[in-house]
Amino acid sequence: MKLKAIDASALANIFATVGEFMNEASIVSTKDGIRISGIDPSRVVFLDIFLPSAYFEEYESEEKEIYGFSLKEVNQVLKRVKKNDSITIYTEQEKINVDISDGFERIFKLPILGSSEPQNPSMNLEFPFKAKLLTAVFSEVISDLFNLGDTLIISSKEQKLYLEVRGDLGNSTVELSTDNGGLIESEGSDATSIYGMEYVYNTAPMRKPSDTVELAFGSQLPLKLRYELPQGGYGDFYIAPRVE
Amino acid sequence: MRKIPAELCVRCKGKKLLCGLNSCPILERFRAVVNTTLRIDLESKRLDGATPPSVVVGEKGYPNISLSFNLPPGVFGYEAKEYENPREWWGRKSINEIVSYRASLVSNVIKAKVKDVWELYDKEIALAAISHTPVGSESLIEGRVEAKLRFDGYVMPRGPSVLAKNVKVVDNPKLSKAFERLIFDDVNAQEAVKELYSSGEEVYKIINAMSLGLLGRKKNRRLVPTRWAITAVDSAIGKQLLEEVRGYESVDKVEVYYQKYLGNYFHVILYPSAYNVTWVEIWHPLSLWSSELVVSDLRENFWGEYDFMDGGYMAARTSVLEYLSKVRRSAGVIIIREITPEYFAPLGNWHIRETVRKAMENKVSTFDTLEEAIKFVQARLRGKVNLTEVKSIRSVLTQKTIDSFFK
Repeated sequence: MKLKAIDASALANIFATVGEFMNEASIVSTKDGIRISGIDPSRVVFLDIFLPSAYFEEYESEEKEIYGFSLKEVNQVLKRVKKNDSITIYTEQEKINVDISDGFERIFKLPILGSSEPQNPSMNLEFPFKAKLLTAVFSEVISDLFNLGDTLIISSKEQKLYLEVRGDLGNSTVELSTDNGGLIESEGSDATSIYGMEYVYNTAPMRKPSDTVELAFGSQLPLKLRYELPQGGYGDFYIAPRVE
Repeated sequence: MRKIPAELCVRCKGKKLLCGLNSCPILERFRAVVNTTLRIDLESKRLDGATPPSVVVGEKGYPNISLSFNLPPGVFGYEAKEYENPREWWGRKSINEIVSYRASLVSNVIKAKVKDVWELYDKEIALAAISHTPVGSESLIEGRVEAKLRFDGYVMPRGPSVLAKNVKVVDNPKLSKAFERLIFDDVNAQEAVKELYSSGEEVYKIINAMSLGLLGRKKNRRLVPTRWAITAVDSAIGKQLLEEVRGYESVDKVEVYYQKYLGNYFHVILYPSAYNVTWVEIWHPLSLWSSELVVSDLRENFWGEYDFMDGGYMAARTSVLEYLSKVRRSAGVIIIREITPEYFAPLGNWHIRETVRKAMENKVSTFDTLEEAIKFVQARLRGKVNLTEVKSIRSVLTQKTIDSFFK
C-alpha cells in the first residue's frame, strides 16, 4: 500500500478523530481506497471512514491489504504536520512509513500490529429525520453546548433541527433550519432522542477535512453523522442513544 | 468543612453536646494541645522527640514555603509511630483518637524556598520523612507555643506550631533499597513513582519523597506542597495501573463491595463494561463542609479523562485500580461515598484510600444486572437519595450500546 495526500493536515485530523475513539485500528486497503472502521471500547460508537483512491494524489494497493496500527503512535507523528506539508504513507517490511514533506522530508517508521479484518456490521436503520449542514456550523454549535452539560437532546420539528443541553445551571437550545441558514437541506418527520455529548463532541476534528455533514437520527435510534470528504469519501459515526 | 454554628458552642461550652456528637471536638483538641504543650521545655527553648515520620510542605506563599517537621515532644521509638500511622490506624482508631494524635504533634516550622531540596537532604530532614521507623530529633525553638481554643466552629486536627531555629536529626533514618537508589538516580518523577510503587513501597512514603523533592530529574527537583504531591502520586500510580487494566477482559458479573470507617460509608459496584468510573459523594446534613444533604458526582471515561480533579476521588480510584490489576480484570466502576455527621473533622484523604482498599476485600453481593445492584445499594444507603436520579448514574443506566442496533 502506498498513498500520498497533498493536504497532510486533513489526513492528520481524520486520524486524530479516530484516535478519540480507539486505541488501535486497522487500515483495509483495496483498489478502491482505504477503510478504517471499528467500535469504541465503551461500545457506544461505531465509526466507518472511507477514503477513495481518488482522494489521494498517488495511490497503490493490492486487491486487499490489512494493517493494524496504534493510533497513539500514528497521531504522535501526525501532530508534527504543518499547514503546507504533504504526506506519504507506505508499508514496507512490517513497518508503516510516514513521510511528511515540505521541502525536506521527515520519515517515521512505525510497527505494523497484527490484525484481522474488522467485521463491518450491518445496521440498515431507517432514520425518520435527515439534515445536511456545514461542518463549521455543526462543530461550532456543539463546541458552544459542550461546556453546558453532558447530555445532548436532538429533536426535529417541522423540518427544523433543535440541539439542546440541559445543564445544572440552565438549558440552552439552538434552532437550525433552512430558513435561518443553519441547514442546507432537511427532510423527515418529528423525532427526539438523547445522546452523550462527549461522543458527539469527539467527532469535532472532522471539521477541518470535511465541509458538510449529514445528520440523521430518530427517537431511540442512533445518531448518524456522515462527514463528507472530497472525491466521495466519508466519515460515518453511529452514536447509540441514551434511552430514559 | 462542617461548620458547627458558633451559637451552639457558646451555649453548650462542651457540656450539653448540642451539636449531636458524642464528645466535644473543640475540647478534645484543646486537651490534646494542652497535654502536648505541657511536655515542651519552654525554658531551654528545646524540643526533643521522634518524628513518626510526619512532614508537611505547605503551599502558602509558594515558592517561599513553610515546612512542618512534626514530632510528639518527649516521645521516642516505636511509640512515636502511632502519631501518624494510617495503615495501622485503619479500623482501630476513632476520629477522636486520630484528632488527638494529630493535635499532639508539634509542628517545627522551617521556612524554606522550593529549591532548598539538597539543604534539607544534607540535614537529613528529607530522609527522616521517608524513614520506615521514627527518627529522633532535637530542635531549637523560637517564640511561644500557645494552646489556642478557637470558637469558630471549625475543627482542624492540627497541633500547636512553633518556629524552629534549628532542627537536628539525631537518629539514622531507615530507608528502603529502592529509595536509596532512586534518590541518586536521574530519572523522571513519573518513572521513579512507578518503580517505587512496583517495589512495594508504601504510598505515603512515596508522597513524602515527592513532596521533599527526592524524586525526579536532579536539575528539576523542588519541594512540592504535600497536598499537590498526594494527588500527583495518586495520578502517577493510577496512570500506570490504568494502562494495564484497560487491556484486561471485563468482569462478567455485577459485584458490590462495601466498607465503612470514620463515618464514611463506601459502596463500590463493578459491572461488565470497558473501564470507566462514576464517583458519587453523598454529604449528609451537618457532616463536614455541608449543612444540607448534598450529592456531587464526577465521571471518568475509558481514556482516563475526568470531569474535574478531586483528591478524594483520586485516592479511591487508586485502590479500585489496584484491585482490578490484582484480579487482572477491567470493569465499569461506580463508587458511592456517603459522609455522615460522624465525620466531623477533615483528616486528609488517606482514610478514603484505605477504606476503599478494605472494601475491595469485602464483596457483599453479586447480581446479573446493574439495575439490581443499584437497587441493592439504594436500600443500604443512610441518606434519602434516589441513585437512579443522580445524573452520572442515570447516564450509565440509560446509555445503549451500538451493538444492540446491529442486525
